[in-house]
Amino acid sequence: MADQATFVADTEPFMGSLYSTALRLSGNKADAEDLVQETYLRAFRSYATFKSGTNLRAWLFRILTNAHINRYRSRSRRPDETDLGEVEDLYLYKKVRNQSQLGRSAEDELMDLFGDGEVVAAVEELPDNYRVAVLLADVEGFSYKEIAEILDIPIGTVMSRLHRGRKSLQQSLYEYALDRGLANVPRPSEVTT
Amino acid sequence: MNDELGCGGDVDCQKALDDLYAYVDGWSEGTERTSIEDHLAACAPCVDAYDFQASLKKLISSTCRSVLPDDVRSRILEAIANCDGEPSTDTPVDA
Repeated sequence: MADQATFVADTEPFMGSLYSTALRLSGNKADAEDLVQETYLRAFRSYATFKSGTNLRAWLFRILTNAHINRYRSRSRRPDETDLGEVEDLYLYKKVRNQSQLGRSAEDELMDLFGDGEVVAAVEELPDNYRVAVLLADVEGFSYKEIAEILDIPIGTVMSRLHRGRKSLQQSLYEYALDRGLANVPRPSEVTT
Repeated sequence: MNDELGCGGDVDCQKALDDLYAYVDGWSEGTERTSIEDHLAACAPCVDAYDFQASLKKLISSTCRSVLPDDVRSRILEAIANCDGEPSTDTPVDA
């Protein structure tokens, strides 16, 4: 049995990022709190098996994503895959770059184009597998190798989920931009290739 | 070959773009970092594409963070304090 004070001292610094990820995974505060609490209780009970000196943050995220996957499987909340066959690489970039103004950074342009809420919504709309990969890579800054260990999948699978997740995300963002009249280019369905 | 980005049809552009995500993510193992860097040094349209991807990654990172409310933190710490710490009968954590 792990000493509570030691466990809390070691793991509490990661509670904020675990909660943030849990919120994006579950979509609401009550479920996010449940998920983080479950993660901490499981981690506490298994803390004796954690090898000190290895990656504690990655270990906690592994417990979190496993707990989420178990819940998700039983609830079957979202479709697992989505048809992205026709979405091209750099989708959003190709759509919006022609509207760029000289001398403005890509970052400024993106912030003008999308509200915070729209970016979050586009991430939350992603199918589970892609969303987890995007959150771990883009928000938490885990390396491909760490994500592969957290999700227990090969690095090639991490890369393909990220790739597909980003394509899907860019497509959603573009739709938001169109809906708000910010992107003055045809909808994908209107483009003949 | 591929002139979608206005690179002038440089065959290296497709290769560079294929590796772009890995480069944006800072993953060098298995990707030819120097060849991408050489290509970016010589190809302004690909630099634009890189900047865009890197900026989008930053935007996702900054917008998708939420602050842990104090009451949630307190409740979770309380749950740990009330936990006997004995290994549960749940599926063991195999990490």
